[in-house]
Amino acid sequence: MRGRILLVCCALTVVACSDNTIEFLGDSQFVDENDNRIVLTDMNGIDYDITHAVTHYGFAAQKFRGGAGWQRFWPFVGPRFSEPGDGDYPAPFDPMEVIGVELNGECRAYALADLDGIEIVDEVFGDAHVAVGW
Amino acid sequence: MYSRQIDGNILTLASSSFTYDKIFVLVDYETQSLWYHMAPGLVCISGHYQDRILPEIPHEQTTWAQWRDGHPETWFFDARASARYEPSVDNP
Repeated sequence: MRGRILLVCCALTVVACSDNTIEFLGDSQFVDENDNRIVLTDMNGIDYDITHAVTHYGFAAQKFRGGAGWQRFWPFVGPRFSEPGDGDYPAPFDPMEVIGVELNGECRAYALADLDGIEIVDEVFGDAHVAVGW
Repeated sequence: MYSRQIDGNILTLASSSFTYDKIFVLVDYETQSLWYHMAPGLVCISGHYQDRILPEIPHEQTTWAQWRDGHPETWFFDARASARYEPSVDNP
């Protein structure tokens, strides 16, 4: 962290996982001592300069949380689907909540339980490339 | 749900692992820009595409029964059978 002074470094939380590995969860924000940039650094050492987010959009640097690293959250890039008539196609009156999309003549639905607030599906509808999340 | 096309490029969007106000901040793997939902779409708050917007795509949040009633030919996403992004030399 040469060239920086610590602005905020919330206490790292050590979490014992079920497989006996140790996971560090914490939030680190730094200001560069040379030009006062505000930088988020994730647990893999990747820096994100959020100065513009703070000064232009009014983000509060201390409200950013997490930072375990995006390598923990690979998105779906090869989505597969079941179609009407397939054995695993949901029953017509299944009460689950979904996100439904009709785009370029194609209709698709995604169970909210599968997206879970964090999952991203990088999708293609015809020639439209979209990201599905919730 | 958002477009991930900009300036003729196709972005791979994913969770950055950061949240802001309990909402996940997204990142694109191509430029490591950060994106956050602010109407009318995903706004780039940091990085190469700073201040650019990926527009939101119209969609419905509803029950499966209601959705399928109006769209009986719908394909249903199968998370267990779907492939995730795999890093490689070409996709670090």
